[in-house]
Amino acid sequence: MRLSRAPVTLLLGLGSILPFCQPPRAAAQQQDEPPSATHETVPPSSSTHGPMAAVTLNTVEGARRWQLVLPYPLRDTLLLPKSGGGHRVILLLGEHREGGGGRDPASQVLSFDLETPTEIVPLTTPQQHRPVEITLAGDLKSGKVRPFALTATGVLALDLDGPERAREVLRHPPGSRPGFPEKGLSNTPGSSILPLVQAGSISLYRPTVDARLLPAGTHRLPVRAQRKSHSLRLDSPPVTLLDRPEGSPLLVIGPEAQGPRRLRTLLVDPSKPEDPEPTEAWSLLPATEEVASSWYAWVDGRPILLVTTYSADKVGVFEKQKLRVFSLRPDRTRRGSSPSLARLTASRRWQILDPVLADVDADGKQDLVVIQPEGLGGGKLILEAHSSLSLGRFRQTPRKTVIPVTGQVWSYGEDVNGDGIPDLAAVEENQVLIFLGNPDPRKRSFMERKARWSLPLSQGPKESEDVFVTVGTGDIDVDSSSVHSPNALRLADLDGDGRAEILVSRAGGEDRSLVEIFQLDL
Amino acid sequence: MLGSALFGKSHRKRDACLGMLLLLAASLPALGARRELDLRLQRLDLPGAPAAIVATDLDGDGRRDLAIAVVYTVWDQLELEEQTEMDEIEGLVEVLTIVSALLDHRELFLFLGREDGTYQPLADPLRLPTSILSIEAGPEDRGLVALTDEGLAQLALPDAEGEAPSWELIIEEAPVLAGTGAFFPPMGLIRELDGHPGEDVLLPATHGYSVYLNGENGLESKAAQRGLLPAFENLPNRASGAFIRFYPLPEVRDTDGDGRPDLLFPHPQDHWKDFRRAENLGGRFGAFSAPLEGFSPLERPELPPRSSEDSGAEGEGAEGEGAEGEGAEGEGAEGEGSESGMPEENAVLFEDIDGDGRAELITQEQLDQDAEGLREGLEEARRPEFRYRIYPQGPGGALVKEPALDFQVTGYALAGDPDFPFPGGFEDLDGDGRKDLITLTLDFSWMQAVKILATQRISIGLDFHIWCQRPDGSGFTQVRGLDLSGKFKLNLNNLRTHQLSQFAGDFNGDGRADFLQIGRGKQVSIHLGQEGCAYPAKADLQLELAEKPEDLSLVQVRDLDGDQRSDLIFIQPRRSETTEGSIPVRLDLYLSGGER
Repeated sequence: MRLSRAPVTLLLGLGSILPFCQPPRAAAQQQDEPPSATHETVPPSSSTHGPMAAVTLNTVEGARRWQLVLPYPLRDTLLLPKSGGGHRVILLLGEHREGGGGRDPASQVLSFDLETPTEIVPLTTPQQHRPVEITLAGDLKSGKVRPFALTATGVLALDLDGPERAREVLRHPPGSRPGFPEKGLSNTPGSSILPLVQAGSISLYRPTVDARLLPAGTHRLPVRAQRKSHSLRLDSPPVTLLDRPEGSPLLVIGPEAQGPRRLRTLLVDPSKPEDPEPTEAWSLLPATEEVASSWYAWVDGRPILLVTTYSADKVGVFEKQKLRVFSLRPDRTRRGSSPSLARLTASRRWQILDPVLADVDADGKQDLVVIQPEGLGGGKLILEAHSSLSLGRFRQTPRKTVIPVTGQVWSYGEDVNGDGIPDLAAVEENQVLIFLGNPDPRKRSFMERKARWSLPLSQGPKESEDVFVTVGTGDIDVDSSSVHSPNALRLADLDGDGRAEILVSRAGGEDRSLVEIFQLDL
Repeated sequence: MLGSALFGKSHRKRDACLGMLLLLAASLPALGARRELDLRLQRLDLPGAPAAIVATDLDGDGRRDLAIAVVYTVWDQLELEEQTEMDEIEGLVEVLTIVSALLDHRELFLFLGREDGTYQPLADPLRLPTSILSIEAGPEDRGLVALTDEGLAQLALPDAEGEAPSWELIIEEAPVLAGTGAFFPPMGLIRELDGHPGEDVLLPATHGYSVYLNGENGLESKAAQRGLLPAFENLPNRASGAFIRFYPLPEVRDTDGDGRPDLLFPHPQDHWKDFRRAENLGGRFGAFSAPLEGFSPLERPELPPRSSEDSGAEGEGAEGEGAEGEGAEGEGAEGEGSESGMPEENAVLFEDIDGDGRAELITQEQLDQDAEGLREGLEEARRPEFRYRIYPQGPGGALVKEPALDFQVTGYALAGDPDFPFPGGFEDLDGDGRKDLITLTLDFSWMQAVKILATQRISIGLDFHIWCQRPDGSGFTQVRGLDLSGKFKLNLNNLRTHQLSQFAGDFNGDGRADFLQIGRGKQVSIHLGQEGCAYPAKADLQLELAEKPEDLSLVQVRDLDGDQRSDLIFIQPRRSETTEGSIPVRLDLYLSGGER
């Protein structure tokens, strides 16, 4: 096997599918690596489960870096706690469009474990399963949570160790296309129940140790119906699963705009299947406003709703988003409760506003940190921490830190250096910058403004170009499509040492993606 | 495309806008006073806009009566009783909280038809619970039925005076809409399905469709068939976080010429590009077939269209193979219809065009989409060229790969999203049982197109063109000398989706569609349809309304009294003292029966 471009030691997971013939090191060859970088090669997984993925390990200044090349665009990642240790396994849900066709591509779940970082293990096959969503459910107390994948026809129980890695444990009724609910802010990774949501209803299942799904009740969802030219369209509001540390999770349905100022949220306690009527909580916006984004969270033993809004009366192109935080309480009068926190943010309509719940000052309470780009072009990143006032309320005046980072991808809330204070990672151009949280609560700025680490990202070719690979006696022309800018960043403790690793993922054209995992040298 | 020029790539908004441009074309100027049209005016006051107007014989006297459902909101009070604890009081205390709230009301107004053609209110309006989802005329336009959360109910008029009408459940099966609290206009549940006397019921049940036949003793309460819905792939189940479900609705009509209606399920999003057919086996329906599966004309990689020159077009439009009986498929100049430069032939209809009872597949291909500048783009938007091919079914029902008709026309007909249909398309204008083709061209300047971005308003000229199907079915001939053009104004901030067809109604009962113009103050002009799909440039009939229509989208043209002549319904919003809640309306009915 020979690459015509450069004599690098590489891994080609050629397998049966050609689009993956461009190995991860080929991309690395075209970048400006730090001079000190060293490279190791790790054999790819041998698999008959469709297109192959590969992994390489190299070191960059300040960190070890694993590069996972996947033969699909990445749709979702999930971190699975590993029983008996602090390690967590990464589950990667990829969309494999080749042969999938249309809007419902063949897809695959792969797993990667830092403990055995030499292979990427396929858990499903694109030909057989086509998972579209993944989640975790099981017994949280014993740590026995299991990944489940949703397909067009049913639910798969995934098993990393068993002989059968994917097994259909539930089949949808004809015509049914359910989905998993959204997750609340600061949810734990997994739930004791598995809800399947579709327009009109939620069906609850309780996973058993042997991965069976026992029916645990059904709840009706509000439905709005529209008549279309050749169909009826039924819409139910979003459903969020809120973890409650002290008990069973809570299902939150909404928010639904009811008139120009009120928002309705329905609260369903799945542990009470005998109670068919959900609790109504009503929120009253300060003015006539339209909700842009919404989040639910469980804070201080109660559910809260966070929304960003625009004025509903007039459209302002440069209008800044407004943030409102509501405590959700039963409200049969339907008047609606006023927000406990209401403020104007710096984010324009088109900018991302990222609320995060984290214990900024290490006092054991969850504070609200609002992260947003500053300026029309987002030249800086503003972090504003609203300290907890208990009972799901936050101080109106925030502590503010402005960090000179240009970029749209960041992650805040996990601790990368093990001091117990949440830190920030942000992508700027071709590097990940790590900013540490400031542990001194007396200081106004709760973040350091200077990056402690600057981790280089792989740099893909700017343009699509051909790479010639010799296989057997002939050359094969392989399209090496460009690697796009990073589109997701996560901080997660993968090796159980109390310090989070940094995961960066990006699409690489229509047929592959690149995930880079950095483990800091501390 | 006009849409592209005005809205860039926002196709949905473009289609909606184009649709509305054309829908609102009813505001064409009248062409001078003609013979007076004598229609009787009757006014009915309602607390809100009607959600359904059903003409049916309620009392069995042979005359059509009216059932009008009104869904409206008014301020009311909610009384909430709660038990709560209070300081210094032992035990629980009952607390009554009164809250003002805007509440939904649904009422059914019944009007009995009198011998003189007018209507008389029957008792007080009947309160409709939210479990009633839709109403429509019963089988053979007798009685009133309602789709409810429990199934199908029939309205029973009281025997004794002073008693209120009531609903009797006649079919017990929850529909897919159960629990939604929605209210829809008539959904077309009452259908002739088995070829035997007495219309039957096609119920949209949760699992799929259910067939209830009308036997010797009336509607059977037991389903003759419970069919599953076609399993269309690639339908999304989420949108903006919401969980969604598309429930395909069938069109019910004969497609194989056996006189029995079949079920046609167009794809909820791709429409006729992917549809399923279930043949009628005599009161029940067979397995689904996918007529377009493997139909090679829609799969071929390249299909050069015929040019206007090849097909003998002059000026306004061109006639192709079918019209002229010349040329072979694929002859002519190059053209392109898609971004990739390949012609894009799309299935747009599966309907009986030639009147033989068997449906044909109609495909459409837009030509000459290669404009580079704004000016050229606008010209294409004003006068687009479309090529149509009509593929018949072979003996076994499979589509024949060679089109029976292949022709090219100018103007919009079946373009756009079916949810925002254009007033053009295939329609039998001259009453010969064969469908004719109506297209529209637009007239506006690029300055107007630019101005609309700022002002959100545009004044556009438009013109109707008719291709009449020849009596021998050999093709379509353009009807020359028509002058159905005019101007209308559109406010993009006030788009409405209600359809008002221009070729709507038959006001003289000759079986031909007439051309109606509304929107010039109180004047309504009607151009009577003539032989050969001709329409005089000058209006034949004229009606002066008592009041100018407030909203053209609230005008309906229907035969309410069943005399085969069209009536006009104007829904006139009235002034309301409250700022919230529904606006009361007055229904102005212009009923046929007068001198013509």
